[in-house]
Amino acid sequence: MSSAQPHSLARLGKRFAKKIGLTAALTLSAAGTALAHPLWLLPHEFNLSGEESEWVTVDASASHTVFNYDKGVGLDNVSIIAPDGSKQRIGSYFKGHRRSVFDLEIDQTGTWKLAGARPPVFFTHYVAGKRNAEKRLFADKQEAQAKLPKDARDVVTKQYMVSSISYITWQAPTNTVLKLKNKGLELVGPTHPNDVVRGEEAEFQLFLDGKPQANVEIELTPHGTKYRDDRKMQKLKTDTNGMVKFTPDLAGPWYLSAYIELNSNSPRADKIGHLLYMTFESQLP
Amino acid sequence: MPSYRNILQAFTLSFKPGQLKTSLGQSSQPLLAALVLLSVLAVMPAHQVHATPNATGHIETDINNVEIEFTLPVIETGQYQRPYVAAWVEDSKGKAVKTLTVWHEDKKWLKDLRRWWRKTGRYQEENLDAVTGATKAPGRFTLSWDGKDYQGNPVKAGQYQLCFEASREHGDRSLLKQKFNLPGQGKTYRIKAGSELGPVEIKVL
Repeated sequence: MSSAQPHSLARLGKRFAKKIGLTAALTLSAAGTALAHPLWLLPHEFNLSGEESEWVTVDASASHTVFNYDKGVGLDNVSIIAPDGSKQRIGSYFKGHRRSVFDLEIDQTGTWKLAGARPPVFFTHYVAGKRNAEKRLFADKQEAQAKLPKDARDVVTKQYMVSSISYITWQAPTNTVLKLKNKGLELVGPTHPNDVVRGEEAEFQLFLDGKPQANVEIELTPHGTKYRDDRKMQKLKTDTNGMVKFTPDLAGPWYLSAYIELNSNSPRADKIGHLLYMTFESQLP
Repeated sequence: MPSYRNILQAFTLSFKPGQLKTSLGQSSQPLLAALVLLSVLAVMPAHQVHATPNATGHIETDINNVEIEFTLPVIETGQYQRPYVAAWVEDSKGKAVKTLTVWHEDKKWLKDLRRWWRKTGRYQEENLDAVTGATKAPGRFTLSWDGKDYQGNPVKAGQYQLCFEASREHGDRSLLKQKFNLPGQGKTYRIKAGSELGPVEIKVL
């Protein structure tokens, strides 16, 4: 989405950059999904049945515990797409220290999409010093030239494209908002995101720039990690057709992250990592 | 869209002479209808006769008939609200073929009949008015299915599943399911009670 928006999400990125710079344990080999706090949008209802329009409240936070609040986020880059395809801004919202909140009036039957995006984030990774310490700079390829120490080795700049989505359906589900934009990393059916059911196999297909994308790293985690020992996170990869199948064993909200990293032709980066987060509900059977 | 009258027929539990007479009286060919009825009575065992007049006054015999008796339990609690209840039939692939009844107040909470709403409620706005009713106090109730789908066509012989779902504000949700075959040769099934619903007895003719 537009990078002309206020960069509250980018500021968050900067904070992560600082944090990560100090944490040598997070190495280059770590998946991109470890880069930043997962950013999630959690509607209080995913499926509505009433006869009149209803308000849904949506929490947003960046946190590693699913779904506990950690960091409130700027939501100026969040778009709402109505079932007829029209796009709206969320208007005013509350941004707290731990979470952000907005309310949304669901006044059209069908499936709505909530989509938040960070402006592109650039990290330059390098190795320096006698002990080959792995370090990162919050800078693109050109900016990094001035900032890198003289003995920097194995310099790689990565561009991260991060977005976070969720869906709400009033009455029967529709597919207008699920149509591919053929841009970046996208997720579609066969399983409608508002039709996932505990104990039933769900299947999603991942696309990059409109083409099915193999080897997308998928992580799936059910809600409530704070109150159990086992995170219950499933790590999967899309097959050659970009498909990923799983069977949720818990009802309730789930968190999906999808990550793919590829070489980039951009003058600002050597590699590009696409990171897509989705919150969805696994329903009672 | 099924008329209220059709629904009454779908809910007709068994052969009711009084009702038949009335309907036959409206028929343009009462004598013929009576003859048809008599011939049917002659060839079929008494318990399999489920003669219901259709809109044109003709007699149809439904051997695919499912009779259901169930209980809404008395629940002793300070915050008792009558539960939302749905009963419907799914085919062997889990596709809903017919909703038999839905008891509710505000449609806003129909989604809390989770399975029913997902499988069929959300797709059937026009077909529902005829089978919906207000929530009911605890007691014993009867229902029947005439073996017809939403379009009013008799379903094929095979395996089906009767589903019952009840959801109560400040209470539990119960989902009861029973597979059965059509025709069922008079077989009776019993489903143990859940916390909000049951026991259920199903007789498949």
